[in-house]
Amino acid sequence: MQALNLQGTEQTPSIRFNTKKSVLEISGKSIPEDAMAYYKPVMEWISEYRKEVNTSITLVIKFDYFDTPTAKVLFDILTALEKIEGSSVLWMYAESDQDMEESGLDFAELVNIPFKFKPY
Amino acid sequence: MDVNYEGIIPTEPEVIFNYRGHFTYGDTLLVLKKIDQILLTQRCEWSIQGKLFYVSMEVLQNLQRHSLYFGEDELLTQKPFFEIRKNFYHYTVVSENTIYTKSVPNLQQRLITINAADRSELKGQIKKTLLNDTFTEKGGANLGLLCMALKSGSTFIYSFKFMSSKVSSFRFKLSIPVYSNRKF
Repeated sequence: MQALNLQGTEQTPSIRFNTKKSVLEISGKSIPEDAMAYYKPVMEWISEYRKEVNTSITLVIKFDYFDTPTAKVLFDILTALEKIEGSSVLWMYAESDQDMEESGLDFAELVNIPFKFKPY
Repeated sequence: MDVNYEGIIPTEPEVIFNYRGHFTYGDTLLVLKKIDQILLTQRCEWSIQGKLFYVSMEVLQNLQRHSLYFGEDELLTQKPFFEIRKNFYHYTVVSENTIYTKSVPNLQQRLITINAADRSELKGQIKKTLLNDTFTEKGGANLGLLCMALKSGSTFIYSFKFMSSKVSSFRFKLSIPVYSNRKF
């Protein structure tokens, strides 16, 4: 199983999988030029993980901000995670960022995965 | 074919940022960086800064994806335009760009539909788009207008100016109150 470790930039988030804790973390800013292309390795990794390992994952989301193409890809990632039993989401948001909290609540309504919310 | 729906701003606005020019991905990032710096100097709530930045980001991406510009020789198109204004009550994001005249009816209908939707209906439309739509050939997700309407809580103000059977000018404005009235 290949490691997943994408370095973030000023416009793209860092994406890392911690094998010991089974935590997939996506954090930073997300306004990539091509969201589908940037997140394609993540979708492929989840697909491979489901075939080879298939134990539950905690997806940690910690965006500063994200654009609407990222929202579409994030929905696709969450939909893929629904198929890995026991997976959950930890949605982190800056304490004063009510919009980011609300975005998480909206995603939680769309998918069948437990969400926890944590301000920082 | 002129369609005009303009709102009224009660006080004379101050321009805090404007840009007319090409909008490649790189240009958009530079403009966003400048806007980020300017917003830090504004004495407004953090949540309002966040909304204003978000709307700016989505409008700029629309300009990047959907503007037509045929160069200096083409008299009927002009470089896209983006501006942020402020008066006592509102920040207003303004954009203007040239689009194909044949796309005006669909765009206008979309704007009318979104303007008529309440918060719950907007969320419903976003959900439907996420479930059913794929990415456009230009890398968009068909969510920008919906999400701007939801985050800002404001209606779009827009106008189309017919320039030829080929191209029209599209002007777009969205206002965000300077002060939030959220209770939580």
